[in-house]
Amino acid sequence: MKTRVFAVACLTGAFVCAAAAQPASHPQWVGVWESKLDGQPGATLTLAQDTGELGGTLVLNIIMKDGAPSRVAASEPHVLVNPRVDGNTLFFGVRKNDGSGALLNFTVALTPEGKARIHCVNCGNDAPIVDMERQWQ
Amino acid sequence: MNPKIFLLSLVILLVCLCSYNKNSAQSQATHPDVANAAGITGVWRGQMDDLPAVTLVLTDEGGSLTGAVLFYFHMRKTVNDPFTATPGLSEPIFGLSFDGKSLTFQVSHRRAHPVRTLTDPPVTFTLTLTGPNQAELANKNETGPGLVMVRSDY
Repeated sequence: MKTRVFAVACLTGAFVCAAAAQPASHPQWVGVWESKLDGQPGATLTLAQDTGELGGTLVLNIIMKDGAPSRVAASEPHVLVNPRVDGNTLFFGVRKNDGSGALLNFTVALTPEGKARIHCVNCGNDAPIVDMERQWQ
Repeated sequence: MNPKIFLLSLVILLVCLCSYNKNSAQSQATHPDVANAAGITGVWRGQMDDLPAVTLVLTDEGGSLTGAVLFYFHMRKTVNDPFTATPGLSEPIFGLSFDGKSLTFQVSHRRAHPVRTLTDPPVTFTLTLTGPNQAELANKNETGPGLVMVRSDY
């Protein structure tokens, strides 16, 4: 009897180890998320699992008006650094490309309506919390 | 089967599985690509006709070499208007392989021009270093000269 219990425990442990090796699936996150500013894309978050791991990019756009209809004047892609999902929230960092090399830490929280809210947590007290909508998966 | 041998086999299986997981995590953190990546991490920009064409960001900060690529569309309203560059959709790159001179990577084409591209296979690119902070970006499916890319730090 003890032998059987031990065998079951070993098998369970083996399955737990094997399961831990599998990357988690995040279908609720994969896709293109976009926020709008004056009708233009303000931030675009692309999340993919092409390699099995969740990864992606964040594009922060600079919107110009200069007397004309709003337009995207500049656009810089950023690699998501150490993305991780905890519950309904995605955490990641992006390294600024402006020469400072500062790491900006972002959270993106899913809302019950299927939208998301992005916030830069170390960009100052006035950093806005911006709604994002998934354009497609 | 002898119960003792059976148990021993199970223990060995358990140890092997856990050891494999640990080793695979370690190998990702010390991947040779990362060790060689010092010369290529940063922001690479390519231009066509004095307009931005491609921005490629490469980093090894997360423990393995990763990156983002952004292609620009060049359009004009009429034949009399000047061309302007409009950013497309930024994509994470994957399948990276760096031999010290050339970086090969893939980009998903699914989201490039939906809906017609949703089942497209990924596109393979090669970034070949040609000098200090200079490289050439080529699409493996296309012939002809590659695009000159210039690197800057973050």
